[in-house]
Amino acid sequence: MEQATPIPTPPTPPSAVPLTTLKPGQTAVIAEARLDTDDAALLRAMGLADRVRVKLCRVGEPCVVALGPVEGKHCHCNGHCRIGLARGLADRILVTVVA
Amino acid sequence: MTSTPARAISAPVEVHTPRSPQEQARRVALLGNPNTGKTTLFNRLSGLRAKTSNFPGTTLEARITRVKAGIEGGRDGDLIDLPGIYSLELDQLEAKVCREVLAGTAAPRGEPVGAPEVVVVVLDAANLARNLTLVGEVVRRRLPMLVVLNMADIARTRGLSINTAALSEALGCGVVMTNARTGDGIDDLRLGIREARIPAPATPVPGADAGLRDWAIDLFSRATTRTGTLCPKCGYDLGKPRADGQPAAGATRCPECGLNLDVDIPETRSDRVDRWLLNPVTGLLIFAAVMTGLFYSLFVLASFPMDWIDGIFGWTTTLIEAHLPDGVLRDLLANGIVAGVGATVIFLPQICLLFFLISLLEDTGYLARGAFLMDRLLRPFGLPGHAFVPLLSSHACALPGIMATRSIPDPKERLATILVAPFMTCSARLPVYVLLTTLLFPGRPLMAALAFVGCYVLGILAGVFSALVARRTILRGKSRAMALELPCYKWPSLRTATLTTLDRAKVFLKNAGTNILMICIVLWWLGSYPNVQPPAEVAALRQSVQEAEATNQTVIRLPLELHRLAPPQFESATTDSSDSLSQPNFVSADRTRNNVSDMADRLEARHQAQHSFLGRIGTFVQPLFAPLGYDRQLTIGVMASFAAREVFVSTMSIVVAGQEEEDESLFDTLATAKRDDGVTPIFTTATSWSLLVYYILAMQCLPTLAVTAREAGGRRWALLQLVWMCGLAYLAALIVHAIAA
Repeated sequence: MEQATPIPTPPTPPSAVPLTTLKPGQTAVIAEARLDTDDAALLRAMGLADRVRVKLCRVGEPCVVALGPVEGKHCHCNGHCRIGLARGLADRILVTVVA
Repeated sequence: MTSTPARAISAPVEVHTPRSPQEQARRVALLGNPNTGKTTLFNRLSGLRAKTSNFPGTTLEARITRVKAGIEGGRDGDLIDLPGIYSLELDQLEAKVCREVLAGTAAPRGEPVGAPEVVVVVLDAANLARNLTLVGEVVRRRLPMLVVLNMADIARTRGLSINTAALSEALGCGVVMTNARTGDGIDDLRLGIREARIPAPATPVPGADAGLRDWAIDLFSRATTRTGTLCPKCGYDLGKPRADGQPAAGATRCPECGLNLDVDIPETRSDRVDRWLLNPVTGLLIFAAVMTGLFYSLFVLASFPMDWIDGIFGWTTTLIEAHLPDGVLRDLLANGIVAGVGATVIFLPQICLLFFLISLLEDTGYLARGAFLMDRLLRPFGLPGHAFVPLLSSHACALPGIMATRSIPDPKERLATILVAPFMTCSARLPVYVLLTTLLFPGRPLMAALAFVGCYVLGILAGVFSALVARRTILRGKSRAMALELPCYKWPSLRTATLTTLDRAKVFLKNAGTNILMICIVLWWLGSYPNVQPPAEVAALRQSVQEAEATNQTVIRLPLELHRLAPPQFESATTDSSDSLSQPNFVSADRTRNNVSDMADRLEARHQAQHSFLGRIGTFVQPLFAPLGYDRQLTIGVMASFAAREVFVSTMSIVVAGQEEEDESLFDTLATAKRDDGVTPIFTTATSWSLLVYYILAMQCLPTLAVTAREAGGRRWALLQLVWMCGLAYLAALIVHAIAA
């Protein structure tokens, strides 16, 4: 099996806050996921990776986020994909608020 | 591998190749993200022809079907449905199995090991950017590949147009568009499998994760365009020409509300529905209502076909008894095979309906929400929300339930779920629940229904309690957090639900026709052999009857020793006489001729039951169950249930057959069945309650223990499951019997 080599991610901006601090309807960009390797890899594969724009649809248990496009990439992303996250998981995902 | 240039396959290609009889079917692997419609596509291709097995070393289900080439001379393909995964590189069992199948080091059980000749990657066209990363991972493996864009109609309604030719050009392999629900594009898919080749992407796939994502996004941007559609926020028709006369299609911003169509994420109808369905209060209420409706319809709707099946088996038994001469063969067919299998097959409608309804619920997207609702409830007991579907599946049968626990990422949580899954009320318990609740509440269907619901609740409570104990002791450890994709709500596919149901029905009937049939024959043999001579008392009674018939007497005076054998219910048939004590050889009560004849029959049947192999086993073990109120016959039924619970009712019908009356239904027969003393009913109220609790909690299924041992990675876990469940069942049944008595 060919091993995928993760590339270094830029340092987390100081303005980054936990995803769970957003209000429903707010949009943010994922900065960092402070999770163990397996959880982080799963979320990345599901589309919750750094630089991805997300909208918080629901806060609580579960947190529901809508996946948007990757920042800086032109993409006709229609934002219909929803990921449900246990609150404990969403707490450890840091985002920078966009709107 | 071919050297033809990359192109999209959009129409059948007439390529005629002479058919070679030596040509074997191609191996085709079907791969894709969860929720891409992969299973629907597989069902569309397989119909009812799919074989179900598993991947060796795991119990991940592997379904295989033969796909016709679609053109004259083309080679057929053996299509293997691989588990849904988000990435081949994840440290999960599903991803590991997919990796091994693609590498040619694993194959479904019974299939030769070898790399697939074609990998069909199914993509959700409406979530294409993310799905394309999996394509990149397959491209890295340099296997002949075909990309299938499923659900393109949904993408189109969302204003996304996908250029399959451009995507095919960029990937350097075939791309076909299908709609698994309607069957559109299936012929193209068959042709595409034949034409598949090793992809030669225009841009090489990078090795790094982030690079792969960017590669997928670039590919997505190159192959898609925005088309005219309604603005998801304000409903403005984006296809209308703009004020400057230019068409609006391709615009990035809605001219009405200013929504940035490329960046902004609009609220969807599913979001609005989720506000209610994921709400801690309304969500749970709706969930409870859905589950109640599911199980209510299970019992109301299924009752009609169950009656028909009951009638068919009853009619068959009558036919056998009417046309075959008295003897072993007639007894085997009527009382062993037809009665035994019929008592199990009668539950087929309930099993079909349950799987049909679960499949419909899953297809709507609601089950994923249910997993989160259950996470809230299950987490305090150390179980993840992922355990919801395995536990729900266990309500049909613990075997698929335990197999489904493979989707639980955390090994300890998975083990805990495996251990408690058999507590859920499986369909094999239903015959026992129906029997006992009917016996406990005759003519009171509402109370019987409530007791039935109580059985389910007790099973669930015992399961979560046991999980908590396990997670606090032998399986202590941190719980893994939960992440699930929530598919948008949609109308379920009746075709998919029907095919799933028929598939499960096939498995159940196969089980009924093999294992259960064998158990019925063995039990019949154990209950009928060795043939024992009727006791001397029976011969004496029959002689009395013959003498009375010869002299045309209707009343018989019985010797004292024979009278003592008579069960008390025969007292009502006596005639009074005053000379009893003065005549030591006779009793005061005379008996009618028919009464004595009936008494002889019952004594003979009881004697046979006591001295059969089954009777001896029951007699040997009965003292263990005596504190629970079980007599020897009931103990025989309980012991037989360790092979499979569903044979309890049929076993009891065989064990008490000596007391059966032809015009009585099975329930009536068992309700009036007496213990060996001929007085006490087998099913007293206390015994019935105790037995009900025992069947809710006890581990009585050999196949489940075998699967537990395999899934949990050791026989010690199966042994623990057996001892814990049976111990808990014994204790609870003991307490219930003491209270009810």
